[in-house]
Formats: sequence, C-alpha cells, structure tokens
Amino acid sequence: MPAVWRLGETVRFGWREFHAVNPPSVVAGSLLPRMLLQILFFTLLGGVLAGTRHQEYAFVGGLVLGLAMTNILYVSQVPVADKESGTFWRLRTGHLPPMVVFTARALPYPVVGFAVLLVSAAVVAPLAGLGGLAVRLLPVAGIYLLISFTATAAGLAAAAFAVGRRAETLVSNLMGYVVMLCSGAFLPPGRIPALDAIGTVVPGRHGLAAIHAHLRGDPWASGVVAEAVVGAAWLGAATLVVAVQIRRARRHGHDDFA
Amino acid sequence: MTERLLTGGWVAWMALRAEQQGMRTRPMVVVVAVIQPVALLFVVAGTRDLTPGEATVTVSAVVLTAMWSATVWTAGGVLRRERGYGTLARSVTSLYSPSLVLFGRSLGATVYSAVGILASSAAVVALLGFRFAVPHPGWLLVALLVVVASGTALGMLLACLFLVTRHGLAWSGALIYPVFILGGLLIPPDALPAWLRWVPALLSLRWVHEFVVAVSGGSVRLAPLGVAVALTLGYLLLAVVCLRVAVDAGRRKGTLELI
Amino acid sequence: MGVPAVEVTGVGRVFGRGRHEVVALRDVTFEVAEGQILGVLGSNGAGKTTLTKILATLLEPTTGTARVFGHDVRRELRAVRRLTGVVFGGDRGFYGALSGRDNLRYFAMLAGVGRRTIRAKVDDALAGVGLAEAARRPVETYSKGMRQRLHIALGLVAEPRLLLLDEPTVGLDPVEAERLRTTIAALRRTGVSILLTSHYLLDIERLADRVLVVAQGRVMVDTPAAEFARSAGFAATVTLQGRGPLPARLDSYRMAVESVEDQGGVWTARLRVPDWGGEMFQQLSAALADADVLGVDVAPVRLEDVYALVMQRLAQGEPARTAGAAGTDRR
Repeated sequence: MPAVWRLGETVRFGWREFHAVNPPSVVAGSLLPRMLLQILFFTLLGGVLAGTRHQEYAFVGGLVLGLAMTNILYVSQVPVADKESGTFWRLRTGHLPPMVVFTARALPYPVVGFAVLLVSAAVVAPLAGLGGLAVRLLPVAGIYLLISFTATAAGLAAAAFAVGRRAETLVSNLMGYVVMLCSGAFLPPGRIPALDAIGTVVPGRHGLAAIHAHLRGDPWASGVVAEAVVGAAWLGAATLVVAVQIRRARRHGHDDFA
Repeated sequence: MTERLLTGGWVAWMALRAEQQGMRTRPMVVVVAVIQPVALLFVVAGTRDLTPGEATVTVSAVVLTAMWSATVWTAGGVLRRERGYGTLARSVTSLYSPSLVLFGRSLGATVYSAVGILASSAAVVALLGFRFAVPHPGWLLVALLVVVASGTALGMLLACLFLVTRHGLAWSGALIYPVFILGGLLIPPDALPAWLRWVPALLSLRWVHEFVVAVSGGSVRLAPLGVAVALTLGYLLLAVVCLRVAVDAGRRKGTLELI
Repeated sequence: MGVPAVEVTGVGRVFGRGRHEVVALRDVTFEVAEGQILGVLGSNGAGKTTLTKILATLLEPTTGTARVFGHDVRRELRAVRRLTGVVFGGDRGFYGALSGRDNLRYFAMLAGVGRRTIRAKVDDALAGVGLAEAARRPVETYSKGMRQRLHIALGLVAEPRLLLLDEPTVGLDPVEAERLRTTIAALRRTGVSILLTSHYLLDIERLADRVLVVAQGRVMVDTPAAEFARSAGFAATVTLQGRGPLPARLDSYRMAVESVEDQGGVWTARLRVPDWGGEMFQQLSAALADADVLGVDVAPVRLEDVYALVMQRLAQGEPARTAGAAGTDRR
C-alpha cells in the first residue's frame, strides 16, 4: 500500500534527520548530562526544602520533569527545520498530510528521550541514595514511556504554533515550566489549587498520579488512560494548528508559518 | 585623557544600548528573566511554608540562581550570537578594544536581565505574601551592584569560551545545571558530598548570597562581599586575556569566523 | 606621487598544516595608487577574499608585507582601520531584528565616527544609498538590494580613504547592480581609493582603472583596464553574411578570419579586427567591394571574452596576454 510505504519512508527519514541534528556525541555530551543533572537538581532540591520524603517524591517527579522538559524543547527541531529550510510548501503539497509527516518525523524524540531517562535514572538513583525506589519504579517504566510520547505531542503543538513568530524557544520553555509547576512532579497536588486545575491538561500529570498510585499499591490504570487521552488531545491540538498554518499559507502565499 | 575616558564610556554605552535593543527582540530573555525565577519561586514556596528568615535565604538564592542562568544565555551568548549574525568581525576588530565593546554588551545584557528577574520576583513575592526584614537597604543595593558587576564579568568570560567552540549552544545548556547543583545557592554547600563542598567557593554569586543572608539577619560581614569582588575582578581579567588571545589567534590562523 | 593607498609585497597566506595545508595566496605583489580603482578578477577560490581580509586587518599574512597608506596591516591595526572601509556584502552582517538606522549607528560608532557627528553622518550615509525612508524598518524586512546598499553605507559612513569591496553586486538584479555601480563610480570623484573584487566582468569593465587577475593564489595579470581589454589581441568581432563566392581579400590587411561557414550558398564569416576605426572600415569595405553582402554585425570585444581567453591561456600554460600587450604578466 503506497500510503503505508510513504509512512515508513517518513519514519525512516525522521530517524536520519534526528541522527543528523542530534548525533550520538550530542546525545551523550549534551542531552544526557542535561537531563541527568536536571533530575539530580530537583531530587536534591526536594530533600533540601522538605526532607527525605519529599526527596523521594521529587525523584519520581524529577524523572518526569527531565523527560518532559527535554522532549518538549527538542521536538521543536522538527517544524523549525521546515521553517528554516523553506520546505513546508513541499509538505503541504505532498501525498501525506503534513501533521502525519511531523508526527512520523518526531518519533525518535520520545524513544531516545526515554532511553536517556533510563540511563539518567540509573545514575541519579544511587547518587541520591534512592536505589531501592528506582527498582520499585521499574514495573511502571512503561508509564514514563507513555509520558515521553504525551510530552512530545505537547511540544509539537507548542512548536507548530510558535515557530512562525520566532518564539518556539519561548513557548517550548514556557510549556516545560508549566509542566514543572502543574504536573505535580515537584509540588504535590493540593498545594496550589490554581496549578492543579491547569495540570489536568498538562502532559505527565495523570501518568505521575498513576505512578504514585502504583507506589502506594492503589489501582493505577485510570491514570494511564487519562494520560493517553491528554496526549491524544495535544496531538489533536497540533493537527489543528498545522491546519491553520496551511490555510494561512494558501491565503497569503507564503510558507513561513507566519 | 578626559576625552579618551569619555570616548571609552560612550563606546561602552553604545554597545550596552545595542545589546539591550537586541534583547527586546529575543524571546529567550523572557524565559530566563521572568518564567524561570517565577517558576522556581512557586516551586520553593509551594513545597512548604517559609519563615521570614527562610524566605530571605530562599528568595535571594532563587534570584541569584536565575541571574546565573540569565548570564549564561544572554551575556554569555553575545559573541556566539555575533558569529551567527555575521557581525563578529566588526565587533572584535574595530577601532576600539574588543574587551571594551564586549564589556558594554555584557553589561547591557546583565542589567536588562537583572531588572527583569528582580521585577518578576518582586511580583511573585508580593503575590505569595512573603515577609522580609530589610535592616540595611544600602548594603543590599551594594550587593546588587556587585551582582551586576559579577554577572557582567562572568558573561564576558563565558562569551569568550563559547567563541572558540562551534558547540557554544550545547555548552551553554550544559553549564546551567552544574551551577544550580554546585553553586551553593539553592542547594547549600553542606548538602553536597564533602569532596565537592569547595566548588561553590569559585562562584562569586555564592559569596554575594552569603553576604545578603547575613545583612538580612542584621549583620554586615564584608569578607564574603570582598571575596565576591575579588572573584569578579578575576573573571574580568581572565576574560580580557582570553578574548585577546582568541582574536589574535583567529587572525593568525584564519580560524576565527570573522565573516 | 604620494604614498600608495595599498602596497602589497610578496604576500602569502597559508591555512592549516601538513596534509590539510591550503595555500590561498602566493607571493602577491601589487599597488593601488591613491584615488584609483583596482578591479581584482578571479574565479571562486582564487584568493580574492583572502586578500581583502588581509587588507581589512581581519587576517594576518603568513609571509610578505601589506601597507595601507604606508601603515603595516600587521603592526599598525588601528591606523589601518581608521583609513579603511570594508564591504563584504551578502545577507548576513547585520542584526536583522534591529532597524537599518540602529545597525548603521552602532557600527559607525565602532568604525570610529565620533559622538558629535554620528547622527549627521548616519543620516547622510542612509540618504546617499537611498535608504532614508526604510531606515526605521528592521533589516530582516529589507530586500537583497537594500541590504547591499546598507553594507555600502556602512563601508562609507566613516569616510574612509580606502574602500574594500568584496563582490558587492553578487545576487543583485541588473537594476540594483547598475545603481550600485553608479554609487561606486561617484566615489571616484571624491578621491576614495577602491579595491573591488568581483567575478562579474561588468563591474570591472565599468569601474576599474587597473585590473588584477588572480588565479590559484597568484597574480597573473596586473595591467591598466584599457590594456586588459586590448589584451585579447583584437577589438571587435565582425560577422559577415553573403551569397556567392567568398571575398578573396577577407584575411588580408589586419583582419584575422576566425571562422567561415557555408550553408546552401550563403556564407558566414567571423573576423577579428585589431581596432574599429575609419581605416579599418575602409579596408573592410574594399575587401567586400565585389561581394553580395547580406548582413554585417559588429560586436566589440567584451571583458568576458578577454577574461575567458586569459583563463584559457593560463590553463594551457601560455602567457596570459598576447605579445605586444602592455602591463605585467606574472607566472
């Protein structure tokens, strides 16, 4: 089937593109240390501010923070590439819908992000004296993988919206900080109600709730479903944004995402 | 002599203005000067209730942490951005000392960031109802001036380092969290392993923090401020030397992308 | 004779080392007199931009000396920079989000324009290149031609005595390119010395007093522009078409027959003539007196033809110019 073949080609292209922009030296030399140190910082900060129990809480949430903030920021490379290369017109006149192309090309980000997370967790846990906790998180590693995808979807939506205004760095960072404040990664739910309200639509919130439920021995499936729904909603938002970009491009005769 | 000083001041002023004009067009400035300090303040305030003494320690640590981040991305990125714009040649090979031009730009970036950080932090502090005692406002102002001077000098030093590598952007990102962890600000030195507790002593902002905490408690201890000033002068000297070496080497080897 | 604007003696420039060594310039020697426009021709990689960078004090020569109005580019940087304006052109070289005026003011300051005169000089420079109205717009909204004009304004705002122009018309449409040439030609009247590098022959043809041809880092030709045009060995190509027998005396006198074709009884002959004056016209008329001529076309030799011929001769290891041509040939 031609459509399936095209999709496969796009996924393969996405991996080549990822490798060109983020070769192993960048992943190992920049992405990994950044995520690792981010997780370590939040874990230590949790302990400094509120003692050992909060340090454990901060470690569990710090893994989400490191993952989400990295994925949200880095996935903006996909739409930015088309903006800077002047290739968006080829996407919107091609045989695959542009959002399908973006999504297929974005696949390496959650996968590599999750792999980097595993390495980071393996380093930070013993450094912070939380090896036992890390082992208890292993059965729900899949939830972190899900969050990796939902965060990437949110990052794609943010970038597609902002790239025409040269504001993708601002919007991506803003979304990352919203995740920091509202996902419950550092601030437990119930501390600041306004942030909790925003958190219901933020990637990582429901997944993290599921992880904490698992640690308590409570049912956690509903949290996973809610996380998946949030991720799908962000993907839907990204699709809408790109559709608006295409309409504007046809109307105004440019492909600058502006 | 007076004319030379006036001209030097004018050059630095023009460089400062040019940098601030540029900063108004860069969204990243909003991230480091507003979003980050606001987020960090909410994070630390939301974790537990702070006493006035703790509030001083924590808020000043957040402000100084944000200043470090701002220094890396704004002042520290001056020459890296110049290379991206294609304006590096004119900046470092003009009639005036490249250090003077870089000083003006770094100062412009630092002042702009500091104003943003202080304003956004003040807004959050007011919103959250923190209570501080400010027994020696004059000394706090002195501390602020030292912070600006330190940020400027650090920014100049980082700008030079990022000039000699193609991976300046990656290095910028990589430098943020090590200082967050080892800078002695939000993570106090005694929370670090013993073999790492000397590292914060190298960061001038950590000494300013110590001075500010003491002043807020009513005691003016000049030693930490003196160390901060000495470190600042050290960064400045190192920056001037590094820049001269980098530009001269670049001219000799043809490796500095001046166009 | 005053101090030359540019005096380059034995300049060489090497990049890299060992296996990666690249020799960009070899033993380059030439002068630019004050008030003169020197056109530097050469293909990509010939060394033109390297030469410009050395004179602009952006790069040190590996060997040899270069002086600008007597000041050494290696040891007297400030003195050289005070006298020199540089235009590298292209899309980069400005802060795109800032206005043309803000960019020009800032770089004018760096170039040495004083604080008391900077406002007036910036206004004059913008007006001089036709950017006064667009001055408050961000540079990123400028067209290619407007950016090039802003580059020129930048090069001139400090009123340099020597202007280094590196491929100033590249990427411009013909109208913009001609406008730029007019601006540069007007500078000649102000006494500014100019070193203009280009691989657009029209720039050199319209502007240069002297021509320097650089190939593989060496100066191959250094000659007055008029002599360079003549160095092809002919002044014009005459294309004749006629019927019947080919005139017998076409290749007599000083006409050289380049080619003859005959198709269905109509012949076409291309001749190279050493000049196109009254005497040549009479000789040609005499040669064609008995011929049934259908058409005559005269095409004066273009600099492109000369340049192509020079490069062809160099590639074949021959002298760059024909014997008897004035100026200097280098090997």
